[in-house]
Amino acid sequence: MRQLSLRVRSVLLAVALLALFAPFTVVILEEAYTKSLTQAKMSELRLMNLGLLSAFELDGDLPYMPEILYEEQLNLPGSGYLGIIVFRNEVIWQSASALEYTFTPPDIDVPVGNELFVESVEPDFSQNSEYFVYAFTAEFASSRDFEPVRFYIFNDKALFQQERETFLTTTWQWIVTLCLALLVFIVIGISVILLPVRKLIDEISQASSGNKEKLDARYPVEFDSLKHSINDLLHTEAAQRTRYKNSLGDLAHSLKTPLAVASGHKGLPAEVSDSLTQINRIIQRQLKRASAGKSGWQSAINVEPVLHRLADAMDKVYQDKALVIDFDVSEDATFNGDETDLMELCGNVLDNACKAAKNNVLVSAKTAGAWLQISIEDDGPGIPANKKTMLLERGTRLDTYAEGHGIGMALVADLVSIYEGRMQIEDSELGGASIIIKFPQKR
Amino acid sequence: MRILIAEDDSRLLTQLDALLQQHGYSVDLADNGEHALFLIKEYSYDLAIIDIGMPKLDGFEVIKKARQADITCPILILTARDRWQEKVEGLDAGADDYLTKPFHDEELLARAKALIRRASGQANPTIQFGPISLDTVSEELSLDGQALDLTAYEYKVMEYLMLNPQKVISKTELTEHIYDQDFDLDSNVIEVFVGRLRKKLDPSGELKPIETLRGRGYRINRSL
Repeated sequence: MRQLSLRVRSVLLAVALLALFAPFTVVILEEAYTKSLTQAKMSELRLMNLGLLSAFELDGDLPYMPEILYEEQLNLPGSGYLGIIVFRNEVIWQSASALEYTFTPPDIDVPVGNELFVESVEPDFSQNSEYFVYAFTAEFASSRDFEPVRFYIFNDKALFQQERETFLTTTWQWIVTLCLALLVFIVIGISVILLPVRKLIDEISQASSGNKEKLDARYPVEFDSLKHSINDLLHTEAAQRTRYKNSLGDLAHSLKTPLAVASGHKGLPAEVSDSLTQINRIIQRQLKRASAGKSGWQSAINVEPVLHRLADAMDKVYQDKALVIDFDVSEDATFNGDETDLMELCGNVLDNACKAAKNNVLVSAKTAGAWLQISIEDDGPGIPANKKTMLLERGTRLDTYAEGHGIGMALVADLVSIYEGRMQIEDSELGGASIIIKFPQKR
Repeated sequence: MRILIAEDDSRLLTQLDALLQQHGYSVDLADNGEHALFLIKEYSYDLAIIDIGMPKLDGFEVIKKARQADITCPILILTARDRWQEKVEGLDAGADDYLTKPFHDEELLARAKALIRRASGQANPTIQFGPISLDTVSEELSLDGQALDLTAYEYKVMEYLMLNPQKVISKTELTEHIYDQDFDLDSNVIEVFVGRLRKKLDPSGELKPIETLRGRGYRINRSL
């Protein structure tokens, strides 16, 4: 299964964290807010209760309360604040705000000198409604003795709940907005952080497709060692490839000179001479095959200059034939492989074409879709149908072909195969053979 | 015809020397690049056969430096490195043809002759002046289609004259091109060869195939 990209992973992680922490944050804020609001309510009700206490007087057994209280809320009906005073288990006073209610002494009994704050009660006078209650009991001197007088302040919780709901709604709205903003910042931030990684990947991809010889963009300091390691690797690979080719070239050189001496020896028996020729062919072909090959890290080769150099060389070699080598080569035609191999391949085909040609050779190269197509045509005698099949069979020995399509064409077939290309042999409009070679272009 | 062979393998050098001498060429030998460059600059050659892989100075450098010094003699590269990359590099450097090792003697001789002939502006292997015909492939001189019996040196003199019909060739130049480098020869010998050639080519004395320019040398008679 395909692994998720770093960006998707980061975004998913951020979403998961936000989905976990956002509700927690709201719950914690709501809890703190409710507590703080409740505490404030208790203080408010305590003050109100103290107001009642300070206004209350007991003259013998006769209680006295002023008509208008200092606490305005207790004077206004519908304010949600209700005050009652209980003496000898009877409600002896109720605030003007509580005129519409009928009270019985509440069940809440508080010892003298103590207070009690209850956050939620459903009192008898108002069913289905929740109230805060603050109760305080104080002793007053009656005609008999000191007797307890209980002071109660009720406060409707509806307003409190409404305030809390408003806070929650607002908090959620802000948290969600903040989360979305945070997510956008995270996505942008990740893109910015991953920018050098993307650049690095792009450069590596360019190097692997042969469009760059080394990584030369500037990266954050953390990538320095990686960049240097990759460049070292590229350099080592290129150097090793060159060394390998040179070593094989040296090997060919050191084998062929003594072979030339042996072949030039007078009076050599025919079978020995044939064997030497055979050895030479094997060296020629196998060493070239061994050193040929593509590497993913090679630069793309522009085909045109290679073909021009070869044509110039042919002009010199076949000066006596006064051949006209025409070109129809697209400037953007590139070969993804080694220049030596391209030159070897085209050199052999062009050499054969020049050998076979009477007057004209046509060299064409173009990029056709995902393929590089090189074709070399001549106006020579052409290649018979049975020879065409032989030439296309990789590894076939073609030493006997009179027009010069000898071991060179076997090498061409090898190189085409190594580069996963295709070779066709057709009849040219010029009258001779047309060798068409195609190579897949790197994506 | 005078040929320079530059090759670091002594056995191959000896073989080539013997082969070319056997076919009537005067041969100078060099077993390293520096010596080859000295010789090619110092003497006038009709052909230089130069190996690429040589000590001191490789073949490419010898060719480049020789061409920079305006040496125009044809150069045949002899190389064991048979990749097109190297062949093209050699031809780019100024060589005129290449031959990869190992090679057949016949191929080397054919290439050498073709290059010498081409350098003299002759595209055809047979050079004709009136009734006189020189076949550079079979190394035969004919008069009215009849092959003449010539000694090796007589052939060399006639070949050199016919390959360079546009110029007056001094006795010294002729000597240099038909004899080995250190062969000290009296210039009268050339006169003897020319005299013999005149007799064989023009027994009646009407044709006058070889002109003598007093104090300058000889030239083939182009109005034949």
